[in-house]
Amino acid sequence: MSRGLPTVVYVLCLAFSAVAASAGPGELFDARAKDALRPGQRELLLALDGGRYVFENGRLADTRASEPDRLLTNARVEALLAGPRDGAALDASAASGADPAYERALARMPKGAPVPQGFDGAAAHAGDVRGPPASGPRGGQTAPASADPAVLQARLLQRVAFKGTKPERQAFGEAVALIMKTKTGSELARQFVHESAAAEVVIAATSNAGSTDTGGIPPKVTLDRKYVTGSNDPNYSRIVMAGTLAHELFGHALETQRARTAGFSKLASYHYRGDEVGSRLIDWSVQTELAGKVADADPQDFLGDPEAYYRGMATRDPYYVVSLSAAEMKDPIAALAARRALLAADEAKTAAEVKQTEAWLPVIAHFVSAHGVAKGRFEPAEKEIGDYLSWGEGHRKKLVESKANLESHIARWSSRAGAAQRKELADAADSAFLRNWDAQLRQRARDLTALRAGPGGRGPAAIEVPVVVITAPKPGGPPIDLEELSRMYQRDKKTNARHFK
Amino acid sequence: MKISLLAAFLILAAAAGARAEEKVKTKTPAQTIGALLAYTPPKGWTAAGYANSEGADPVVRFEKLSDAIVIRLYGAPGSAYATPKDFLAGPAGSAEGAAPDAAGTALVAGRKVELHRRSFSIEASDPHRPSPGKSLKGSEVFGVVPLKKGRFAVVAYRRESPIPDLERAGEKAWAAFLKTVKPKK
Repeated sequence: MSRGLPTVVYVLCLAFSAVAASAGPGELFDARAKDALRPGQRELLLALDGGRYVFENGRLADTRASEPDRLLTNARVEALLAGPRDGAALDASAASGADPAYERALARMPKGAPVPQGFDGAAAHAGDVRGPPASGPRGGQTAPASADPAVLQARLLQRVAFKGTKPERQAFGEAVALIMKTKTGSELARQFVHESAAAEVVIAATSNAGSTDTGGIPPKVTLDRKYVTGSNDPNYSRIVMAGTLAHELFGHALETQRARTAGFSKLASYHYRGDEVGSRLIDWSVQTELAGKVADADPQDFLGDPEAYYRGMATRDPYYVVSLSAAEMKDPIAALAARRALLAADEAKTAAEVKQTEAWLPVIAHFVSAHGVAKGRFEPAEKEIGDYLSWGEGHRKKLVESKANLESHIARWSSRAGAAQRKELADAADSAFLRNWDAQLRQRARDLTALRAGPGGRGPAAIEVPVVVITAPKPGGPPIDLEELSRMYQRDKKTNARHFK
Repeated sequence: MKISLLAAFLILAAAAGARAEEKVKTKTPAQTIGALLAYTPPKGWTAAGYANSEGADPVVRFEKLSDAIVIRLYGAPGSAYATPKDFLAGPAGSAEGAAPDAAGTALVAGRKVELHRRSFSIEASDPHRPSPGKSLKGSEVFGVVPLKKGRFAVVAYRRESPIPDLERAGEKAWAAFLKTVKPKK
């Protein structure tokens, strides 16, 4: 309580300073006064209660009220902006603890120029908007943020600052609007608003599709610029961008703030393997709800065999190799030491695969020279070979980096200085916070399984991922991919054994 | 006196129960599966074991480079799949929710087992590539083997690479492995 009360006071001061400064609380509100409303607040007021409030010559009128209460006073506008339906939440924020650091950061976020309204109203005004945070208790309870989707969206956008060009802002707004159309996304938006989370979103050229810097306050989400400019299928980009944004915003960014608010170890939060997979589950759910499928990944692999999926992740990236389950946090050195064998096996496997892949090139040459098959027909097989060799090269680099990261963590945690970190992880392993996080992840997996099995799971796809179709017939016959080449090779080996001695 | 004897009996029974529970808990995935299914792992392949569904669904896996043979056990209390039908409809047994392709049959302990084929992603690292494209896929052939007590095993051969093996060593090992699989009575 002692922590929460000043927070509420601070929040109220921060949010309503503009309105309060213009005139006394009993006087009629005038939107024409300088700094009467912050960006986004006009849209929020118009969205409340299904359009109950309208602007009349700068005054805000309640269409359901009669004179003399029809025009709103400064005090009533302040109350509306605070979210009168969230009143209980404001009180409850004392208990849940809206994080002052987030509120301060939110206040520092730059204002943005308004953009034309074009997609679901408030969405076009996405970002760079500051406003009253609607705080409330986290976890388990129904978030009291408005049930009206437009209001919820407006409130969400007040807590997410966006930096970018006009087209980028437009794309971001569309992504938010798409997320809000899904049950998963709107529920998480409600939680995000309710828990007074905040984030900053930028679009930039990056090697990742999306990432979140959880070290900053608030967390900074970066989305790949290719979503806006680089794809030959804008529809694909829209859906995947929405999934990625949900992944970063409601996965990493929200969970980071939850951990911070709960006083959960930052170290454990960083190493917990469910942080990434939980975020992926959000992405997959949003995409499945929007399009009936996931365009850019395959949740079946995780849902079908979760532990094998985690095992696979460990050798795919330097970060994942040091991620841990709750059980592994109890003895992180043993867990990481066991991964040495995984990395070594993957290294050997990749080296062998690269060699084996290259071995198909002389087979192609053989069919061209000895059997007179047109070289052009092997284009698909050669592309598969090229793709794999290129992937293999990148993967080998990642394995080297993963190995270095693994050894550095083992060394650190084996040292005397690392004992404190080991204890921190072990304590976190037994915490209620991590148990809840784990349970939430399992529930998300069950929900996604049900979603995929339900009528919408494989419903009419809103997007179609283009498939490479070779239309131009190659001289001398149909194109040959690796599978066909493999069959040709087996047949030739049987009938012309001397060819492959 | 009667009460003391009863108490002693209860204590002993509780201790025995605790020991039994401990024993169950410490069973490895290979032991759990081995109690229901006999098989001979391919020679020279590396073995690993783990479990899903909080221990209810044990898995053993043998691998050599990009080839893997996997045995998954389902049907226990807490299992993700109570029946083979559930399994074939769920994410572990379907191909993106659709029925997997038929891949012929195999004789397992004298019984004909239907085989299915499906593909899977071999890139688990980047969930969202910003441009559509063909991702690297591996393929899995699997069959369901009914066991006692409502349990069933899913035996699978996975080629965890999009590149076919010139010599098809993995497929040969799989064919040999299937001949050794025998449900225990």
